[in-house]
Amino acid sequence: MDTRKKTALIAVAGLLAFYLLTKGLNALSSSPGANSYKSYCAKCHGEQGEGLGTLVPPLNNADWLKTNSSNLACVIRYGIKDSIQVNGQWYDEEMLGLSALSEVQIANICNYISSNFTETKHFYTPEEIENSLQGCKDEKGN
Amino acid sequence: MKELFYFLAIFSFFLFSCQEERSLPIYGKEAVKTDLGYDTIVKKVANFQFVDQKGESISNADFEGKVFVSDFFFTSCPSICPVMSRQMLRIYTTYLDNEELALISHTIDPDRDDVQKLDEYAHKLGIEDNKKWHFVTGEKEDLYKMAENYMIIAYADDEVPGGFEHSGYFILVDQKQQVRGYYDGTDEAAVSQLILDIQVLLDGH
Repeated sequence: MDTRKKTALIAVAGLLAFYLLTKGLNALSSSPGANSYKSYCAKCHGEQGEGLGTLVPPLNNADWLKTNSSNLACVIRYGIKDSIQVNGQWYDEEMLGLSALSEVQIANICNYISSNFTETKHFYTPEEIENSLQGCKDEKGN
Repeated sequence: MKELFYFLAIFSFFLFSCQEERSLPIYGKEAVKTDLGYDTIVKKVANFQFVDQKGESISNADFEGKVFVSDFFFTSCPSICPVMSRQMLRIYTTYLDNEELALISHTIDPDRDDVQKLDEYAHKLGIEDNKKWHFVTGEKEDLYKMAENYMIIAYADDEVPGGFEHSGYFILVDQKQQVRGYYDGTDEAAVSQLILDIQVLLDGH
């Protein structure tokens, strides 16, 4: 094989590898959890979970998530009316619940938040989400 | 090889010279009958006077010769308002050092949103002064009339939906207080376009 053919072959292989890599990365970033997060959470909490001033609390590295991991699903469905403290800062704006989201969507969002914004990367099983939601449903007496 | 080079050079020259300069529409144009026939007048933003988050009186005069972006919101709105504020903040940050650009956010809930409430809200967004971004309140009737005024100007254009005091629209106004664009303030892509269009007006096109 002469050099030119070799170069061409390497170029084609390189392009193919690049194509597969970008496709793989796209698939990863457009997982159902990523999509739901983008549609329902990012507009207020930010794409990187950075929050918005002291109006909207951050999710990224938020201590609240460490101590409230079992509450996350409930907050997504029912929102928060009371003030909460996140990383030492108080936030007193109301968050509306996303009542239209299914349990599967909530589970995907919880896992997206957990794997992207926490160190522990706790994995939420469908049963866990179901139990949490059942718990706060009873609590709210609905 | 040489021919290819010349071809590319000429081709790219045409490509760049064909790029049109973007010019923005003027909203609120109206044909009026005069003694000499028909003439076109442009409706300007109505006269207003409100009070901002520092208790200072704000009127059209404060925006003379400036480009400004106007919107309607209220501080106790947990749905689209944080989304709009995030997008307004993007505009604020982009043009932070440009004094030719100002922002005005009108509350539509003046009963609750007094000067202090607006200042608190501004602080939560990290806005400490009232040099660039005015959060204003006033008489409920005046605030709604103002929203209606922007709507009447938009009315001539079929693409702008009505009642935008509740729909999160950002209104772009030029140095002559003429409306030059309406943008969905909850849509990141629309606001990116607005940020580009502000520059078009600042450049004097």
